[in-house]
Amino acid sequence: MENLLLVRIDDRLIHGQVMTAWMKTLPAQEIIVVDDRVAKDEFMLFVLQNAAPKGVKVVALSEEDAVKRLQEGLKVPSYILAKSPVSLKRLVEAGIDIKAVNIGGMGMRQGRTVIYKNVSADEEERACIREFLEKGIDVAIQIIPSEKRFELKNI
Amino acid sequence: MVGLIIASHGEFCEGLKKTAEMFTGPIAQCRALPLQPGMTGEAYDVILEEAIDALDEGQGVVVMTDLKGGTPFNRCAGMVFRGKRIRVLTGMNLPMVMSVGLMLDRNIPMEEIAKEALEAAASGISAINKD
Repeated sequence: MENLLLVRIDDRLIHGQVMTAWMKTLPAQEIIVVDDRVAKDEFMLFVLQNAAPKGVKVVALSEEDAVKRLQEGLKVPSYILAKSPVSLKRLVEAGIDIKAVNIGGMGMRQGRTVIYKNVSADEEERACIREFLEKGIDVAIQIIPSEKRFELKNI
Repeated sequence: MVGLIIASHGEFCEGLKKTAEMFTGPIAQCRALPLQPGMTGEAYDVILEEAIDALDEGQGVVVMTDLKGGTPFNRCAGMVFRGKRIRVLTGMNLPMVMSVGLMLDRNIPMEEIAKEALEAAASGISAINKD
């Protein structure tokens, strides 16, 4: 969709210099965090807004609100950011035009097994990624823009 | 007296404090708080909050961090949200720590110390030009 520069999965959302590195390659003015919990958590939103590169607006929306907002289109160059592919499933199923999903980090935790380096997923997350791939969405792991993409084909 | 916290990933903060003290002499009312590998944000909150409460005598605490968006910085932002009397800076360097180290015991308000610290840090970054 127009003005959608990057759809990214990273369970740390905005951290360190990673977002700054992406902003250099793909300059955006807004980051839309899609997460039901963060959308209700003023504290987390405050931290994220402070961690974002200068001049970049951060909003946090529930999955439901994100669908509504994205159906209206994007006015400024934007990123969509989520902690897990599960948060994006609803967007994809609602027909939001997402051509590619970048996976930046999904830390190891109970129930997850390693896909590649710092990216682990549980069965539900793997099923989501498979669904995205079946729908023709290009899913790849790439932490920072200068790193080589690791294509996800069979997971 | 205004307090000073130097926060970083690993021991950078401890080294920076020691090096700054080579110029300023011992900085009273200052703590270095390293985030050790594997330490969770929640565990870091505990030592951070304890240090803020110990150093704040009513005039507040200047907190310096190594990296915008990193865990020490993010956890400090959390402390701002919770209403702690702190001013959080990031991109710390030796001139920043030295400038604050020399101001703490001179009865200067926290806001002013923070402003001076940012100026000292920025003006300390340059290159040597030949010719």
